[in-house]
Formats: sequence, C-alpha cells, structure tokens
Amino acid sequence: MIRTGKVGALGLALLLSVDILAGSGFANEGMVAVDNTSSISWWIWPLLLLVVTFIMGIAAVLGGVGGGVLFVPIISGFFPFHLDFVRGAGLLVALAGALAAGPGLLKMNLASLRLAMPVALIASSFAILGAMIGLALPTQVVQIALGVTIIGICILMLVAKKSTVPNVPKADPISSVLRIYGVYQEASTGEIIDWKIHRTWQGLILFVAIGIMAGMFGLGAGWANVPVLNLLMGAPLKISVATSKFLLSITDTSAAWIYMNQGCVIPMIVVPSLVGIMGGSFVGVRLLRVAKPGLVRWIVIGMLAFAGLKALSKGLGF
Amino acid sequence: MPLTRKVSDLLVPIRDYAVTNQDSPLSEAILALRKVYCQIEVGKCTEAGHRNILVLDSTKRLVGILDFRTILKVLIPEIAGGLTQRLESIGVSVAFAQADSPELDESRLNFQSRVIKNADTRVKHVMLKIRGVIQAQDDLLAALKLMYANKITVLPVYDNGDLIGVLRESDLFLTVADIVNN
Repeated sequence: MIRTGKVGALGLALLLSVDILAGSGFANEGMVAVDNTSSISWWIWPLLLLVVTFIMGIAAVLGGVGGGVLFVPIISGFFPFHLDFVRGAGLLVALAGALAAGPGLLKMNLASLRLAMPVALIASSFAILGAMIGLALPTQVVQIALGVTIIGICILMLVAKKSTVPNVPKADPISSVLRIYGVYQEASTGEIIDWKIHRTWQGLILFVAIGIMAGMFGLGAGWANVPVLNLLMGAPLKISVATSKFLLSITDTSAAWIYMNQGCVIPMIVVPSLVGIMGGSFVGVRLLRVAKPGLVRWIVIGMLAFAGLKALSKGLGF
Repeated sequence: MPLTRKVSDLLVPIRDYAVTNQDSPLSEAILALRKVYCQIEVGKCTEAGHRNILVLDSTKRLVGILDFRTILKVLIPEIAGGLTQRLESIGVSVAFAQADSPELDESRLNFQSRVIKNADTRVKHVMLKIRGVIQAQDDLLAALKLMYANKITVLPVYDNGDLIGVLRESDLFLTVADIVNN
C-alpha cells in the first residue's frame, strides 16, 4: 500500500510540475505540436513525456483503467501539445496495448471473433466518423466535450458493477442469426461455460456512440466496451474484457488512419508515449502481484477527474 | 567405414516411434511421447529415448513433428516461450488489469491449472513443420549433411513413398562415435 501510494504521489507531483512548466509562456492554439518560442530545450518534452507516461502505464494497470483514457486528458491538460496530436497519439497508445494482447487473447479462446466482428464493423465505421468530426470541430468544443466525457468516465468507474457470468435466459434473434455464442473453459475450476448474448440491437446502437467517442477523443474505448458487452449484452466478464481489448485493435486502427492522414501523428510525441506506457504497464503487472491497488484506483479516478475539469476549464477559456 | 551404411540399417522403425494425430489435443501427444520415452529408457534401448513425436493427418500422412522444447513452450509459455510469447502473456495480463479484473487473468492461476489448460491446445496449432526427409536407400553421410543443413535432429525415412521410420541425430552420433571407439 505504501509503495502504491508513493507511485500515486509521484504521478501527481509530476503532473503539477509539468503544469507549471507548461504554463510558463506556452500557447496551445494553432496546429503546432509545441510552441517554439520557449526557452526550454525541445528534448525536455519527449523526455518528460517518457517519464510521465511510464508512471501512467503503472497507474493504469494498478488502477484498472486503459492507457488511452489516462493519456489524452492528462497529456492534453498538462503538456503544451495541441489536442489533435495528443488524440492521435492516444489512439496509438490504446492500439499498442490492444495489439500486444490480441494474439494471446485469441489463442486462449477468450476473445470471441463472432462477438467482435459485428460490433467492430459498427464501432470502427463510426470511429472514422468520430475522428472526422473531432478534427473538424473547433478545439474548444472538443475540449469541453472531452472534459464532460472524462467526468462521465469517472462516474462510470465509481458506479459500474460487473457480472462474472450474467444470466441470459434466451439468445435474441439477431445474435442467433449472427451465431454469437461460444464455449470456454474456466481455467480455475475446469468448468465449461456455455455463453450466449441478448439485447443485441441495443448493444449495437450503443457501439455507434462508443465508436464516435473513440474516434473523436482518441481515448480507446475499453471503459465503455466492457460494460456494454457484459452488463447489457450479457457476455461473461472474461469474454467481454478479452473481446473488448481485441475490438480496440480494429476500432482504433480505423480512427488512427484519419489522424495519420491529417498529419496528427508525430513521432516526437508518439514514440516516447508508446515506450513509456508499455514499459510502465509491464512494470505495473509485476507490481500488481505484490501491491494492493485499492488506493491507486482512487488516486487514478481523482487524477482523471482533475484532468477532466482541466479540459473543461481550457475549453471554456477559464 | 560406418558412414557408408544405408539409412535403412540405422533407422528406428515407425512402429517403435510415438505418433499422434494433428487434431488431437497436446495432452494426448504428451502422454504418448512419455510412454515411449520411458519404456525405452528403462529397457528396450539403453542408448537414447525418442524425444520427438510424429504428427499424422487423418490419411496417416506425416504433417509435422513435436519435440520436448515445443511442448514446453506451449505448456509454460511465460517461462519456456520466446520473446513474442512472453510479451503476449504480459499483454494479456495488462488487458485484464486495465479492465479492473486482474483476478480473471489466467497467468495468476497456479502452475498446475495453467499447464492442464494449455495442454488442451490442438497439436496442429503448435507442431513443427517437416524440414527434410530421406530415402531408406540413401547413405548415412547424406543424412548427416541434410540434418545439419536444415538444423534438425530427426529425419523421417521413406521407402517407395511410405513412411517407414525415423533417423535420429543421436543414432548418427553413436555411429560417428564408433569410429573413434574403433
């Protein structure tokens, strides 16, 4: 607990110091990655980004949130980078985690292709639309929407429940036609679990909104995918988590192309972010075996809420 | 000169070798290999047990091979696996942790449960490709060259299109060792 508390405190201290640095004469407007009138050497920013994202990677794993969700609000709120570059990098951060896990989840028969494909088709189509909307809207409007979304995610993290194997009395017609069902063996008990889903069309409609938000804000979408797949559609939690992660690799790829095509993906931001967050995640998994992450989750929610308010205040011009 | 002998003089007949079907779970292959390996170790042959199992398709055609290392990579990927497998394993752990469900991560289960679950993998998904075969009438020198050129330790032996046995690196070693001994 002491160790995780130190990690959280260090993270907050870094964010505050970055905020002070960023506030010293930087402007966020215009399509430049970093204001070049600063007296601070350019290489400070990627280095600082590497350190902050490394801690973020640890915090994401210990706090139970996706890297993309932490990355976009915190980096856009506390670093002097234009929001478009941060969103582009955020999508790649989420994508990197999904691509690292995807093959393993498929081999373990946990990510369901039958469940993922119809959902991915809708979510990735609307992620493209979301990315286009996000790049077309004025930055202030996107900042305000981002702030509201982040605060909404905080509330969702506080109130959302999980159901290990939801009760689905009968598969609905759409899922039956699409043959969305499966079997997996629970490794801890050896139990064979037959699963099916219901409320498919309601779920698919929600994935329209999830796709738009994923593309618009570059947040990834695991925070929304899992509750919809698990609580609404009735997929077992293990299948929902695995399919959600696999789904990100499709959804975020579609949106990432739009950002890449618009020149919003620059190596100076993306490379340290990816290296930092993946390195941090790998360290976080090791720490998870010895740390009690309850406190870290509260710290992460607090950091997110703070970053959400910061995004709101930026958007509203306070 | 021992190396002028034919492959057919030294091969292990197919009836003495462990075989499995490509659609079988790995657990079946492991038990078959264990049985043959242990039997040979305790009695029939004191030179070397078989460390491989041949994989056949439904028409009894040879399609692949499994060895100890390949089997262990599947059973305990986080230890015996290559960099990719270990990264995948960590990636899966990260996925469950980021979804606030680390208790669902199977790599946190005990060693025995993971080995049993991984042993359900189908043989065809993990078997090694056959990287060279030899004819029964070829000489041992040709077998030796083929084995080292292709970096393999066993060679399936064919006679008139039929799989009749296996030539092992250990058999070739003993043949070459005989030269020194004599």
